[in-house]
Order: sequence, then structure tokens, then C-alpha cells
Amino acid sequence: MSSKTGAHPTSRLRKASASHRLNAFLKQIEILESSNFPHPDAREALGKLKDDIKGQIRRLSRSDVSDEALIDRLYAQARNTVIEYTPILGFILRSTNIRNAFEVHFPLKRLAKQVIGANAKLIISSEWNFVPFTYPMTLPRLPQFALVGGPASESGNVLATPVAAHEIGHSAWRVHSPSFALDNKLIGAVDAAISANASQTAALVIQLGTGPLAVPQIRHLVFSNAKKQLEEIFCDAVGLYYFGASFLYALEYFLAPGGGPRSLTYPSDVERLKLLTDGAAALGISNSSPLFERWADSVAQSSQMDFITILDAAVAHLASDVINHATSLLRSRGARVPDQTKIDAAVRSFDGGEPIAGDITLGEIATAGWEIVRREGGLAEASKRRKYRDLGDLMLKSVEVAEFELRIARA
Amino acid sequence: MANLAVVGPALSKLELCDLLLDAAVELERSRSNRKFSRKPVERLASALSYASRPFDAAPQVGLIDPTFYDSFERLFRVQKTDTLESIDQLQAFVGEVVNELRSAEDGDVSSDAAKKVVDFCIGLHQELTREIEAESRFVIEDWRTSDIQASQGLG
Repeated sequence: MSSKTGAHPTSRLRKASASHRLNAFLKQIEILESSNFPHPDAREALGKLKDDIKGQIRRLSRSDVSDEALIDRLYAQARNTVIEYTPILGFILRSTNIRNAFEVHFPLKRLAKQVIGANAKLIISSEWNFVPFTYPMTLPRLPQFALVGGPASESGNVLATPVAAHEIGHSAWRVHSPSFALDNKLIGAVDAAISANASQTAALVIQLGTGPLAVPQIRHLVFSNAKKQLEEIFCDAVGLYYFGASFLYALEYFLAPGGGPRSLTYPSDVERLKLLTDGAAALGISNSSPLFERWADSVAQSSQMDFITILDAAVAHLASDVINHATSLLRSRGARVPDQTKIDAAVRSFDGGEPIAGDITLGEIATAGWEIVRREGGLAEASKRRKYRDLGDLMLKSVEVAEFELRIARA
Repeated sequence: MANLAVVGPALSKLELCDLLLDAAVELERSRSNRKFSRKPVERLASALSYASRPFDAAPQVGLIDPTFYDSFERLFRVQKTDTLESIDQLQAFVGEVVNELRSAEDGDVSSDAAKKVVDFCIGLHQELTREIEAESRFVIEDWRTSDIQASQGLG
């Protein structure tokens, strides 16, 4: 031990490390704050993160190096905060990149306000990640924020925007799910699923080997995963309601042909597509064939089969309820399912090489675009790529015109 | 540091982590006769009462809020010598700490009792942190370490 470090040398150094890491991060936030943000929400998010970091620095200064175990935890918290926030800072920085379709921010923000609440914030960014829109989940420090990321190569593609509604749905779930009074029903559904699948439950009890706690553990695990599945179903319902058939087409575009490993926090692929197509029929949303053809179901690990049987049975009890909640919520807040008459009008305008004007939603614009792409067999041939690009421009211009007209009407 | 106006349905693991550290720092200050704030202690008592409540949905079965069940269970196994046989034991375990926190709020807690609470805070923070780290917090999939397809599904 060096004489300069005095007593508790490890704590002293660890506390100093925590302080340096937090202050360096604070500095980074301040540098980002000087960026030009196309929309103010990103700047506000930075402010909230900054407040949190400042609070941690204050707390650290109130601790004493003699509290060794506590210093370790304070360091762990600082370290985890930096780990957690670093990609968010990157996300916020990339939201300023001109490759993003800034035009879609306004209609998506309106959707966010409709489903989350008047204080909803939205940050759209492009990502260097091959799976679309993987920045979704609501962040504890930014509860009113929906962070919607798309792969950089799709950032300017309006046809990809329908899946953004799914992400906004996650923020809406956090705000509204308590009012659905779902937990009580879900516990009932979990118990019913456990009772109805006695042999699977018995096998799991043996597998867990925790004696009298095994059944409560199974209930806990089923409950937790079922709730996450129901959240995904809710988010799909939000996307379907607001974007109509274009949500289905965008899913096909991003996720076909299925067949990946089964995740416990999603319904199986086949069940998910069934819920979507049934939901579309219930909302009167028409869609063109082919859709979801030759789609392979997700494959569960054999060791999880018993658990998944119980889990899926519990989710099946409540899937329709959750979809109805999403539908009622959006309807009560004035959102509209894409109107086929308006979609047809948009298709005619785009076919004529003109953007559509008037009262039209992003969902209707996206659906019209998809209808043309699908009608033309995908528009991928070299001779048609120009048309594909022009269609994207027409859609973006239509979003702009719709926004302009809406603002004029409100002025 | 954490400013949780209302402890309720939105309480997350991360928020509880902050509350645990806020309270532990202040309790350590009280133990060493430094000026300390009671507010974080009060907030933690309220948060722990919420987190360990018989789950709203099914009080008849005594299921603890699933968000915190695993952490409480692991901490119980680390800090108690009893065999864990029922959920009631977990609730009693957390309930003891809540009572000590309430006493501390009133300035009526011995140094030993405060130390016990600090140890609980540190232990629970460690368990929660471990869980947060195990969950993918921001990026759902990691192509370097996990199967690619399992995470596909739009967030």
C-alpha cells in the first residue's frame, strides 16, 4: 500500500474510478447537447440522462471510503449506468443523421401521443444492426420516450415505417397495461394452464428439483414470460390498427420465411401470424395475396417443450383480450384504421406520378405504396428500380404534404 | 438520488437499485454520526413494501411481484440460515427490513440494526444488478453470442 493512498486504498481508487467514469460520461452528454437536433425530444432525453448522472455523482460524494462494500456497489452502479447509457447516446447521436426520414417523425409522434399520452416523446434513429427495430423497450429513465431504430439501409424507406408502430406500442404498454387489470386474469390463466397440463407440470417439478417451491416457481416463470408475450401481441395490434395491411407486408418483408428458434417472450411464428390475420379480418383490413406463405414455425428446444406447452396455453386465454384492449384504446383516442377509399386514391395518385394530398394518414400512404410494390411483383428488376425509388419519394412527399395541410388546418 | 414520487406499478429493478444505494449511503452516514437525509430511507421502505407485497393479482396464493421474486429468493438463501419453504418467509424477510427502515426514519435505530439494513441493501443491489446484467437491457440480440434467429421479431 502506498502511503499516498492512505487507509482503504482499494475503495479510494474505486471511488475515484466511479467519479471519473461518471464525469467523463457527463462531459460526453454535454458535447452531444451541442448537436443540431431535427426534433427537440432527443435533446430532452439527454437532459434526463444528465440529471441521473449528476445525481449519482452527488451520491458518490456523500459516501465514505471506509464503507468498502458500499463503494463497490456504487462503482457497479456507475459502471452499469455507463454501459446502459452509452448505446442510448449513440442512438441519440445517430438520430441527427440525414439518412433518417425526418418527414415521418411528425405522424409517428402523433401516433405516440395518441397511444402513450400527451407527454410522449419520440426519437427515430438509424442503426447498424441487421435486425430491424431492436431498440424498443422502454427505459426506466425515459419512461415517456419511444426509441425507434431501423437498420441504416432502410432508414429512408417509408415502406419500413409500419414496424415502428410496434415499438411505440411497447411504450404504450408500459403506460396502459396496469389499467387493463390483466394480472389478475393472467394468474387465473396460468393456474388453468398448469392444471390442464398436469403431466408437463409434473415433469417440470422434477426438472426444477426445488421441492415445495417448484410450483410457485413455475407459476412465476409462466406468468413473467406470458406477460411479455402478451406485450408483443399488444404491440402487433397497435401496428396493425394504425398501419393496416402495410404492417403485415412490412413484417413479411423483414421476417420471412420464419423457421428460427422459438423465443419464450414471443408467441410462436405461426400463432403470431394467425393472431395478425384474424385481427386484420376483425378490423375489416383487406390484404392481398400472397401473404405469409411457406412460413415455417419457430422451433422450440426440446428441453423447453413442457414449459412452452403451459406458457402458450396461458397466453391463448388472454390474447384476444389484449388485442381488444389495444383496439379500444386506439379507437377511443381517435386513431383510424387505414381507409381503403383513401388508400385507393393514394394508389391512383402515385400511379399518376403525383403525391397524394388531403386528409391521409401515414398508414394509408404506406399501404398504398406497398400495394403498388406488390402489384408490380416487388419492383426489384433493374428496369423498375427507378420506379421503386420514385415511389418512395412520392410517399415521403405525401407525408410532408399531409403534415403541411394538417398544420394549416389547425392554424 | 432517485426521485420516485410514487412507488407503484412503474417500479423497476433499476429504480430499486438506486433507492437501495441512496438509503445505504444515508444509513452509513447516520451510523458514523454524519448529517444524513431521512428521505431516501423513507422511499426505500415504501418501495420494498411495494416490491414484496402479496401480489395484487392473487393475494390468496401469496405470489410476490414476479419482477423481484428471483432477487429476493437468492438473497434469502445467502443471508438467512433457514430453509426457504414458502413465499411467506420471503415476505417476512423483506418485512423485517421495512420495519427497521421505518424505525430509522424516526431516528430510532441502533447502529447494529442499521448495519443489518445496509447489508441487505448491498446484497439486494448485487442480486438485482446480476439480474439486470443477465437480461439484455438494450440490444435484444447479440449475433456474437446468441443465435440470431431467436431474437428476430421486431423488438
